Amino acid sequence: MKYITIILLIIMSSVAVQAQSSFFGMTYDVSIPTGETEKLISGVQWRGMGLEGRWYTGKNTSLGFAWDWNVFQETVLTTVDFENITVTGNQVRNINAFPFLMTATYYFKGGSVVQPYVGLGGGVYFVKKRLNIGIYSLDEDTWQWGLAPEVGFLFPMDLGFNILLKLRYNYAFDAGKGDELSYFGINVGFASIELF
Amino acid sequence: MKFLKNYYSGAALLSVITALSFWSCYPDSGLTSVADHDVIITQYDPDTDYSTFQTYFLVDSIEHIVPEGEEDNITREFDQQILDRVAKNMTDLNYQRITDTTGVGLPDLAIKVSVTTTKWQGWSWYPGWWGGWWGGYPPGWGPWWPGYVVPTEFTTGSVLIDMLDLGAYIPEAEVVPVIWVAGIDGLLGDSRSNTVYRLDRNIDQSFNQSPYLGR
Repeated sequence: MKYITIILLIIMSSVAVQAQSSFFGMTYDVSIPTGETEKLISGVQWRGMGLEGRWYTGKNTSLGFAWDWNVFQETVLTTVDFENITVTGNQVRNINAFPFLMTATYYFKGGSVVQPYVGLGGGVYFVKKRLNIGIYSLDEDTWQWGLAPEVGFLFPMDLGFNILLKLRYNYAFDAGKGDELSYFGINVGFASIELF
Repeated sequence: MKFLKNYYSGAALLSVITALSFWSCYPDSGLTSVADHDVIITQYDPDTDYSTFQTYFLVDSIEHIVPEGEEDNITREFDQQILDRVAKNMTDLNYQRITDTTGVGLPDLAIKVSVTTTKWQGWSWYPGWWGGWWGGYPPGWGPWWPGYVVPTEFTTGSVLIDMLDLGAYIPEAEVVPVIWVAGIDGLLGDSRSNTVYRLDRNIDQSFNQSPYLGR
């Protein structure tokens, strides 16, 4: 966390000098688990949200932060073997993932209708897992380093804001327990220019 | 006026996004009925060959496990049903039930059933709600509802089925090894018909998930 704070301060001080404009974005997030995460919870996950801020550091670039809350849940009736013990019951598998990311974005030349961009986020993911079997619960909270490349599109509206659509791949590295987290995010919302 | 229009348009959109985003971000478990919380746990002895046993004796009364000093409030309404279902499953596995041991020697197995209840007490936190469209507030702005904490209390019941290997009796320790255990946990408070159904289903499941049993 110390390093993240230092990086954040460096970026923010840089922004303060170079900022030309900024925006605040808010999105509704849909998530699609992949890899090991999909083995635990599969299918499209409809619960999530995101907030982000960006400061333009040049004509085509910006730096910023992003915070999301992505919820994964699946209920399965299953039988599990642990050596000579067998357990049958409804398992409610739940993950709340909170990415805290610093972001860098490059904007391609766009027209008046759409402004495409690519970006990369890096930071930490707070991953809160819960497994309920019947009345019993197992909880596990971890902080995991992660990366999040994304492509996105800004659609300028005539009402003083942009529609924001972004496709992000989230990958939180294994924290030592074989618990990597990965998922695609389809996030749609709006970006309000010059809110900051 | 344009500023005002932009403000309200953005605020309205913010409200919609907020409402969508916080739409049950902490979802409930999806388990709606009492039966959804049932858990069946079995444990076996990996060194035992269960196909070598032929006969068993079922203890014909169910032990109610009650903490010392407390009154036994557990109903006996379902005792016979539980015993009958255990016997049915043993018969289905081709084990022969011995009801009178006089003159026929010791059966290979003994099965003993016990039940107990546990009262659970704790606190649950229900998350609040931020945003949403709320009449009387400017569009896009809603109250912060901070959530609340409520006391929770529920009672669970457990049926325990112990299978003992009478042939492996250890006289010096006066111990009969338990070679299979089934524990059926569930919430109490269901209707009588549902309880009957759940008991049968879960006792069956405890045998079904133990494929090593049977002759």
